[in-house]
Formats: sequence, structure tokens, C-alpha cells
Amino acid sequence: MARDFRSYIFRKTVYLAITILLILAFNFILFRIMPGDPARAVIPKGASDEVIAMLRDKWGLDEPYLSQFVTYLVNIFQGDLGTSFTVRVNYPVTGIIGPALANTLVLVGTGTALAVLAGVMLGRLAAWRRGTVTDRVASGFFLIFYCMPTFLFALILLSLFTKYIPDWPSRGAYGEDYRYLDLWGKIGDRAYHTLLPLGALVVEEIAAFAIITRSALIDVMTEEYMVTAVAKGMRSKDILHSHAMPNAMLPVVTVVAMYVGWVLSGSIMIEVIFSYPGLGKLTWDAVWGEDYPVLQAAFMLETVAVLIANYSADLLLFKLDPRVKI
Amino acid sequence: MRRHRTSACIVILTVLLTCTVLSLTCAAPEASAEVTPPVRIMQEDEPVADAGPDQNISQGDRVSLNGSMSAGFEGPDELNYTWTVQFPIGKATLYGQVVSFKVNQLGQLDVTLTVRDSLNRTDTDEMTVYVFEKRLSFLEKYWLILLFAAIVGIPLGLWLIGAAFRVLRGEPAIPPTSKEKTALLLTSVRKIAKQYTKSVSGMLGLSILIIFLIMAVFAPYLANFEDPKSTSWINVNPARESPSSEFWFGTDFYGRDVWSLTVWGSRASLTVGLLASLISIVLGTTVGLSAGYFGKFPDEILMRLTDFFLVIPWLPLMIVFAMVMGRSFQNIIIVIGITSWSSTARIVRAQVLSVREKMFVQRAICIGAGDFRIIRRHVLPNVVPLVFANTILLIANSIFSESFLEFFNLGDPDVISWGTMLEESYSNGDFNSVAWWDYAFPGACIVILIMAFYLIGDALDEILNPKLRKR
Amino acid sequence: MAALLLLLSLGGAGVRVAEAAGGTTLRIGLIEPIDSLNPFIGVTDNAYLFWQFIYEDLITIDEDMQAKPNLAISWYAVPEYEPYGSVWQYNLSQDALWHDGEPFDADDVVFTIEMQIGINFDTVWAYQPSTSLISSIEKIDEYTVRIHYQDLDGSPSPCPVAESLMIPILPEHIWGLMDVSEAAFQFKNLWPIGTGPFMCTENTEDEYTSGDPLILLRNPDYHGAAERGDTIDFDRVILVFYLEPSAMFGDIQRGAIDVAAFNSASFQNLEAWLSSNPDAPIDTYSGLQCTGFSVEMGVCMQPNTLNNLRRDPAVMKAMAYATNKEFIIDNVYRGYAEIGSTIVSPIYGDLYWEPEPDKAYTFNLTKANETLDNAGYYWGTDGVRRAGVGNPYGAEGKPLSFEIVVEQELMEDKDTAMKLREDFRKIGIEIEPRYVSIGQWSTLIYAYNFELTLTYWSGDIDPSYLLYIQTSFCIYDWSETGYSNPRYDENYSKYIKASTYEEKKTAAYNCQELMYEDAAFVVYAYPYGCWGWRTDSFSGWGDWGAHPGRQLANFWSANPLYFDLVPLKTDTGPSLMLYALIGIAVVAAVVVAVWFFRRRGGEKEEDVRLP
Repeated sequence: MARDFRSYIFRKTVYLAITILLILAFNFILFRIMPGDPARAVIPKGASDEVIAMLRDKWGLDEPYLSQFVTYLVNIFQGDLGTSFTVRVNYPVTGIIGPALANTLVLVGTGTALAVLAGVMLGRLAAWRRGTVTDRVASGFFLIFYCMPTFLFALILLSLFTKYIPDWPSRGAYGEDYRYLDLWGKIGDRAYHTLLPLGALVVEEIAAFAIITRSALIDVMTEEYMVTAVAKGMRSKDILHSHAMPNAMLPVVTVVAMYVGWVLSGSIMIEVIFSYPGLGKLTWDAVWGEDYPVLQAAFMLETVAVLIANYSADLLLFKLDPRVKI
Repeated sequence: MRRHRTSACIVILTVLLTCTVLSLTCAAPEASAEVTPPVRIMQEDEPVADAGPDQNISQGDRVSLNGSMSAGFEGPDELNYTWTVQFPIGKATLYGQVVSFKVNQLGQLDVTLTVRDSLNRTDTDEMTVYVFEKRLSFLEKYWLILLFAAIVGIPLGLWLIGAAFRVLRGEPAIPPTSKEKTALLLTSVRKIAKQYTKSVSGMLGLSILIIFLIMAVFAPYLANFEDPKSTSWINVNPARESPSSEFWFGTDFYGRDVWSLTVWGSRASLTVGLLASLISIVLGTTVGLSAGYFGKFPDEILMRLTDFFLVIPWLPLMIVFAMVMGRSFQNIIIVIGITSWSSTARIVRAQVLSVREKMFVQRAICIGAGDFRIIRRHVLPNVVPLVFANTILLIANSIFSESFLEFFNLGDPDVISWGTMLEESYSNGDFNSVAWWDYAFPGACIVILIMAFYLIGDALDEILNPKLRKR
Repeated sequence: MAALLLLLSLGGAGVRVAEAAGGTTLRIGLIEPIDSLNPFIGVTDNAYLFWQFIYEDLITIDEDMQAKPNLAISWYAVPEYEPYGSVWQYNLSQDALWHDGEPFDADDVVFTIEMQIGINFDTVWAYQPSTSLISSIEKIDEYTVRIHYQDLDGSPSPCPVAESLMIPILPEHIWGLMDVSEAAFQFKNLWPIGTGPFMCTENTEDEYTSGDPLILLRNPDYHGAAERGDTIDFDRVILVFYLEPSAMFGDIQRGAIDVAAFNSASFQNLEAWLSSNPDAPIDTYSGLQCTGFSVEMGVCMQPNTLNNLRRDPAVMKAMAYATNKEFIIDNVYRGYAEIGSTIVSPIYGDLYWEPEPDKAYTFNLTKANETLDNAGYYWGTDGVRRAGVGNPYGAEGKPLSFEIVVEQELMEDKDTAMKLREDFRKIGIEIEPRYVSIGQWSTLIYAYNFELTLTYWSGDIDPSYLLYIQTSFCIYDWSETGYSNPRYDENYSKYIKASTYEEKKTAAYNCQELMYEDAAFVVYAYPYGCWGWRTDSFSGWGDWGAHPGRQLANFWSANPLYFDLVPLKTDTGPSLMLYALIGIAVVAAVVVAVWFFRRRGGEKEEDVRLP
């Protein structure tokens, strides 16, 4: 068993490395085939040809692609993501992305945690009460929120809150005085500002997780061992806890990991609508600024985050389900 | 002598020449009825020709000239007028009647209008008609109908031709083996249909979908205006009119009919939904099949690729792709298609792996059947039902992605779609005004359509794969 | 959940503690972001708006658009020099301090001017419309400087902007540490130090890089207070940048910001809302902006690798004729604009020129089509015209399809682009909008790496600034179009040299007429500034129509508005009540949820449904 687990981890890690390499290559190629001359884009207000030539040289834009790729990899592993073209002119990308990443982690991290907790709880409730009025009403709500595009829901929430609650903040991850607050003040300020975007982000995810949990549980309940359990005269609560839930959690864990990507995507819309200064809004700014270094870095981070989530889910699955191979 | 009552008086005579484009829906005349007719005051009792403003029409449409008079003139018995309309293609004379002619030639068309009264006094005016390439071709308008006809018609036609050959060869029209198969198929379809009709939510979804399909297919007939996206409607319709009997869903800031926009918008959503999922199904099935069936090295490579696309956050990828490829409707479809195939590939691969181990496939391999034949005869039929339910969910996702991309300005601005409507409504500040209808209807449509697909998918999933619903 | 609650309650207390020491704040809502904190790099109006809080010029503008002392206390033309008015002496403030405590003196002025003239002229081009007229600066004593003015040929000449020299004066002890090209192209200036009434803080860098609201504190040592009684009555200015105009709309409604510059659509909604809520403590003003704001379509006149057919005068004229200015004003700008002719706006009074009706580019598709027909452009089957044989700007058959670069943040521009696209299609010109952020916009435009663009211009108190940017002297500098016409240059230099008002006017008129005819800029509107402000948080807003210098648009240093505003409220953070409410709501939700699950779980325990 132990050796099995080790080889499993090894295998998964190799896959992870391959996929990350694939992503880096993809990232590299994608942003090389983008329209426009990056050197042109870095020069603020008409600079002379010499300056442009100098910058081309500095960015290594005239070298062959392969050596550019190697430089790119080396730079990334040294933590150098280049400098921003237009989002914050000439500012190192790492410096821009740092705070944005932190903000997004707060939003997406709490969002996912909350969504998983609430979603699984609600899904369990609905599945357990399958076919009753509770289930129907709950499923109806899940469905509506699941089908509601995140941006639409966010817009509705925003206009309602700003209209009817006079002091409710409509933008940002924290208030304007954030930097002058003490630690608790900062945390409180953040919580206060994050509540609304979080709500907008989380409701859809809760609905999604609830639907998944519900169907997974119902699947499990059709298994014969459940009938056996009932026949043995086990209490339904015990059946739920010791038989149904652990088995139902397997697909849920897989899907949750895959959903991290979805939540990240959702957070882009939320961040744009709430002017929340996170990775999503940064991606957004970089798209319109045609700021390839920033876009590249943001894209890479987002992808790698999802990859790592999946990797952890795979490991978790192995622990949860002894049958898992590959 | 019958003349004007007083020759010195100012006679108000308007020769209104409405140049209307008679389209098949007869939409434009309704619109032009709203325009205040150009009123010309005549100093003397000389006839005055007024050709009206220059017109722009589409190639192949009919220019209709309507000479008529407005108030202030007692009637045709007082003075007879003759209108002569000259244009390069031909010449027509009309007496207060409507004449219309079809224009196929692109470019500029000079139309001369001559008004001659019974005293032989004349006046001429010129007008230019610009002929553009038709914005909506027959195909553009009716391709959905044609598509549906083709889906039903082509297999039926092929079968009929086959049957005809069989009859010619002296065989029964329906071969006995095929008869059995058909009977089997029919029974299973009937069974599924029976099960399906029992599912309330499934039926609800289906009926909603049918409504939207009707909306999309018959959009040219249901919409009140054929070109609802033109900003020129502001000259015709009131802006931000609340829903009324005339404008069922109200009008938006540019006086455009929200109902017409919504109806036409259903096409964009359905098109993207269907075509994007088609792309992702084809891609996903191919990858999944080859990975699962051939195994080993191809499997490894293809599954790494799939994993890669599976975990990549779809939205940034879509944004980046949309940026690389430019903003057009086709690109949106392609982008959604190539970012969403991976889940299909996974499902297909898993199914293929299990089917491959089945006895009948092993037997086929033993007797030396070709790969292609095995896949086609044995593997594919077992994969299709799974893919089918998945497709429906993919369609829902594609519609969602499309509306998102449109809403965030990454779509084709020329295509009428619900996402674009929402975007325009939002940037015009409707969320701060009373004009709720401007965003509520397209928004609701998106939600309802996605929900319909979801309900159908769910119901089908339950029937087709009762034990395989671990997404 | 409990932890979250705890955080919330503690956080609430924290906010209260900090806010108690808060004070009074003016919050300004803006849409377009600042593109750079470096006054040599940024180009947006809001960047100028930001600098006017920090930096000061020698001379500023009062509420009636008259010269007013700023860093220079007094000034006069030195009579010894010929011609009269070619050398001016400026007596500088002796009390001014830089925000970091260093004293201000004549060296700073000399440094600022010298880094922009002579050999540095081409490198540092942000203030070229003014610096092109300066030949040298001399330091007379510690607090006196003389500036020698020149015309475009370099000979001494009286100067139209001697009494309105709008160049921010920078501290030598910071900017002197780097070479000039670094200052002009690379320096990020993340803690701007000036002499102005407000100061940046150590957090400015962080705020700016995170895209947060910029907080500026009152300068307690502001020299204007002692010299002229220009005191600021509030503690802070916060510039809040909105991604979405509707969020800003909501915030002025509920008083989260005190004054805001709206786009037309939001402003229309605001006026509609105010007419149904007449008691709301909000005043609005809309009118021509004191900075001569105009919006226009620019054609790139410099040849590049893109579609050069755009440079064909016939195409440019046709596009001018196909621009439906009335429609754009009525519908895109919702009536909050006037018909545009050239980038010199009617706010310049007598010097504003208007085309005669028969020569004006009024919307006329027939004329546009005729122009294109005569130039040999024939219709292609796809509805896009093609270049005819022997067209000097492109091979035969090249389609008239262009890309128009539009700033993503500006809703009106996006709408206008769509309208132009609709109309241009009727004359066989296809334009494809490319939405970019302001950063990308300026790199594309100022490198002449575009075909068409939508842009705006604001200028100085004297139209010479705006006239300058269409001369051939500033190609590859300020000129977005790269427009060049020797006759225009000639008239511009006449304008500079003009000794009488009549001469000046004639030259200005000639310039505008040429600019209009050549249509490198198709100016479609002079949009109004649309502002709304809260009357319950500040008083002393004044009449922005009668005194245009009070407008928020006034981005020349020391806008008199800020000296007159009197705060009526001190800051209160979100009330404890609100926190309490949130807390109660969350607790209630948790309790209900827990109770619900417990009850459901317990009550029907036997009821296991196995399908």
C-alpha cells in the first residue's frame, strides 16, 4: 500500500510537471502569435528608433524563438515575470500581481470553502429528502441559481444593495482608509467589502455543489449495500454518515477540484463588476491594455492554481477511495 | 375653368414620395408610416416635386415609390398630376399610384422624379438610391429552417433512395434485418419517450426549448422589424418606451424594439449553443475514442492534453483566444468549441475503456475486424447515448459563455444577441433608470434557455445513463 | 461562521477607531483612469486633474479664467528688451515648500524649464506647446527668474502664453537625479512631490498600483494660504475611479462621493432621477468645459504599414461628410454637447471659428459617395469600396476598410464608433472598432501605429496650445494625426507673432479653417462637462456656468473651487448599526439553518427513502 501510494504520487507529480510545462509552452506560443509588435507597445509616447531598437534588444525579441523560450523559462523560475507594458507602465509584473493574487485568494478561497460547505450540506439535505416538497423547492432554487449567469446575478445584487442600503460599499476589496487601519480594522474592512462580491460569486457555486452532491448521493443510495444497510436495521442517520456520504464524496471531490477553474472564471466577472482589484480585474485590464506580460503571468497563475487544486484532489481521492488506480 | 380657388393663395401641396423597401415581412412600411412626411409649402401653384431624402436599400430589394398628396389639396379632380420616375434601369410613369421595381445592381442609382400638372407645368427632383449588398440573404434568414429540414430530410431521402433501389432489385423495400433493427430502435425510442414524458421537469424544459426554437426559426415572421439593430430607429420610435401593445417588450435607448431584438437574439444563442457543442463533441469524441481505444502512448499524450484543457480556467482562455483571433461571431463559436471539449473526451474515454473489455469487442478483435469497423460497429453505438446527454449540458454552457463574452464586449458587435443587448443596456445606464425592460427580457431569456437545456439534459441523463451520472 | 462574525464585530470596532480621527474629506468620482503619475508621460485629462492637486505652475487661472498668482507672485514684461513682451520677469513665492520640506526657489523653476528646452526639447515633449516658445530662462536672484520667449524661427518675440505658462514646476532635488530621457520616458514618479495644496502619501504608490482610490492629504504649509488667503477647509481629497459608470451613479445618489464627472448617459439618468426626487441634496451642472474639451475622429496622416488609403483627401472628406454629428450629439451625448467644427471650442469666444454653412461637413451621404466616386473608388461585391486604378495611396482593388482605435473606458466613444461604423458602411467604408485601454491607446496613437482613432482634446487658456498640436512641429510628439500643412504652420507662426488682436484673430481663423477643410480631425462634438455634487456634504460650490474656472474640469493648478469648499459633515465610517445588522442577519441565518437541519434530521429519522 505504502509503495503504491508513493508511486501514485510520483506518477501524479510527473503528470503535474508535464502539464505545467505544457501550459508554459502554450503560454509562450500564444503570446508570441498575438497581433502587434510588443516593442511598439512598451514605448510611451513616440520614442525614437534607437530607443525602440534598444528595447527590442532588451526584451530579446530578435532572437530565435527557442532561445526566447529558454530565457522565458529561466526567468519564470527566477521569479521574473517581466515588466508591464500598459497596465502600470514599466512596473515589474510580480509587483502588480502580488496584491492582486492576495485579493483573489481571499475571494476565491473563502468562496470555494463556503460553497463546498454549504453546497454539500444543502445537497445532502435535498437528497435525503428526495421527492419531498423540501427537495423540490430546494432543487428548483438550485437550478435557477445554477443557470443564472454570474454576471447577471452580480449586477442585480449590486443594484439592489447600493439602492437600498445606503452605506453598503459598491466597489473594491477594502475601503479607502484601509491602509490606515490596524490589523483587526483591516480584516473587518476586508470582510465588510468582500461580503457582497463573495455572495454573488458563491451563490452559483453553492447551487452547483448542491446539485452535484444531491445526484451523487442519490446514485449512492441506489447501490445494493444501502439496501443491505437498511435491511440490517441501521439507523438512517448512521447510514447517511457511514455509508452514503463517504461514497458520495468521491465524485464531489473530483468535481470540486475541477470547479476551482470555474470559480476562478466566475471571479473574473465578479471582480470586474465590483471593481475588485484581484487577478480577474488585472486580466481584464491587461486584455484591454494588450499588456501581454501581465496577461501571460495572470493566465499562468490561474492555470497553475487550478492544476494544483486538481493535484491535491487526486491525492485526496486516493486516500478516500482505495479502488483508485492510475 | 376649374382651377385652384384663388391663384394667389398659398397652396400647400405635398408630393410625398416614400421610397420604401418592400421586404418579405413588410416591416419597413410600418416604420415609415411613423415619419413625419416632408411638407413643402409651394409659393405659387406650380407643381413641386419632392423626391424625399436619399435612400439606402439592400440588393435585391424592391424600391417602392409612392406619390401621394397630403392635406391642403382638395383632390385629384381639381388638377391632374403626373409623376414620372426615371431611373437607369428603366422608366415608369405613375399617376399617384405605387410603383415598385427591384434593384439587383450594387452601387448608386439616380432616380429622377418629374411632376407634371394638367397645365403642363413641370418640376423635377432627384433622389439617389444607394444599393448595398443585402444584409440578410435568403440563407441567412432561413438557414435554421433549412437546417431542420436537412436533419429530417437527408436521412429520410437516403433511406428512400435505398428503398427504391431495393425495390428495383426486387427485394422488399424494408430488408428483414433492418426491419428488426428498426423495430428494436423504435421500441427503445418509445421506451425512452415514455420515460421522458413522465419527467415533469424534462417536459417543461422541452416545451421551453421548443418555444425558443420556434422563436429562432420563425424570427423573420415573429419580429416586428427586420433590422432591429439599426440606431436609426431613434428617428422613428420613441426611446425607452415601456412595454405596450405596439412595443411588446418596450424600446431601448435608440428606440429599437426590444421584442424584435430578443427574437432575433435567440438565433445567436441557439446557433452558438448548437455549433460550439458540435465542435466540442466532435473534438471530444475523437480524442476520447482514440485515447481509449488505442491506449498506451496515444492515450497518455491525448489524456495529458485533455487534462490540460480540462483544468485551464475556461474564461481567461476564452478571453485570450478571443483577443488573438479577433472579435467575430465565428470566432466565438470556435473559441467556445475548443475550450469545452475536454469533459466529453474524458467521458468517452472512460466508456470506451469499459466497452473495449466487453466480450463482443474482444471477439471482433479475435476474428480480425479492422479498428475502424470495431469502433464504428461496436464502440461508437455504446458511447453515443452518454455523449448525447453530455451534449445538452454543453449547449447550456456554450450559451452561457456566449452571453458572457458578448456582455464583456468580446463578441461580434453586429450580431444581435442577448449578451450584446445586456451590454448595451448596461452601458447606456438602464440599470439606473426606469427602463427595466431593456435588460430584464434578454436576461430572463438567457436564464430560461439555459435552464431548459439543463432540465432536458438532466431528464435524459437519468434515462440514458442511470448508473453513469458521475459527471 | 462564528469566526467570521467575530471578525466582523472586531473589524467594525477597528473601523470606528480609525474613523474617529478622520476629519473631512472631498471624494471625487471619475471614470477615465490616470495613465501615469509622471507629468511627462500621462496624457489623460484625469491625470492632469491629479497633478493640479500636487504641482503648481508659475501662474494659474482664477474662476473667471484670468491669470492669478501661483508660484509667481507677480510678473511683468521687462521693458528693456526688444520687441516688447519677449522677456518676462517672474517674482517667485518665498514661502513655498516642497512637500518633503525642502524649500522652493528659483533653481527649481530654472531646472524645470531648462530640462524641457534646447537640446532636451525633443525628448521632453509633454509641454511643448508652451516650451517651444521659450528660448532661455535666467535666474536673477534666489526668488526671481526671467524667461526669454521666441517665435518658431528662434527670434525673440512676444508670447501669447507668457501670462498663462502652464508648466508644472518640479523639484530639482528629485528630478535632477536622473537623466532627462529617463525622466521623460521611464520614471514612474510614485511619490509625487510638489508645492501644491495637497500631498501624496507613502501609500500613493500602493494605491496607484492596486488601482485603488488615491488619497491626497491637505498640505498644512501651503504657501497660498499666507500669500493670498487660499486656504483649504477640508483634510483630504480622494479620487475614486470607477470601472462602471452606474456604480458611480449609485454612489452620488447615496452620498458616497461628493462630486463626480459623469458620462452623458449616467448624467441623463441623474437628471431624470432628480426631477422625480427634487429634495435630493444634489446639484448638477452641464456646460462647455473651461478646458475647451472636444471629441474627434483622428486620421493617421503619417504613412505606415497599415491601410494607407485613409490618407487620401477624398476618403477623409467622405468620412467627414458621413459623420452624423447631430445624431451623435442627440443620442450618444444625449444632447449634452454642441456641434463640433475644429478642436478650438466655442469656449474661446472670439477666437472660435465656425465654418460657413455651404462649406461645412454636414451629414450628407450623397456628397460623401460622390466624393468617393470621383476619386475612383468603386463598390465591391461585399459592400466595401475598392481603390481604383492609379490611386497614389493604395493598389487597385484595396478595400476601404480600417481599424478604429477606441478607448475602452469611454462609453460615448464606443457608442460613437458603432454609429460611425453604421453610417460609413453606407458609403462603402468598413471600420472595425478596436477597444483598448488608455495605456495601449497612447502607445498605439503616439507611435502612429493606427488607422483611425477616436480621441479628445483639452487645452490651455489660450488656443495657441490647441493650435500648436496640429502643426508639423509636433509630429511624433503631441500630434496624434501627424497632420502637416505648410500653410497651417505659416498661419500658426503668424498667430504666435501677432501684435494686434485682429492679426491674432485672422491667423487663428485661418488655422481653424485649414484644419477643418483638411479633416485630419473630424471634430464631431464639444461635449459638456456633466457634473453632479452633494450639497449636504459641502457648500461653496458656486456657479460653474458664470465662472467656468470653478469647474471640476479646470486642471490647471490651484482650481479656486477647492479653496471655497466648506465641509458640512465629518467622516463617519459605516455605522456600528450596520455592522450590528449584518451580524444579527448572519447569526439568524446560521441559527435558522442549524435548527432546520436538526429538526429535519431528527423528526423524520425513520423516513429513509431508497429509490
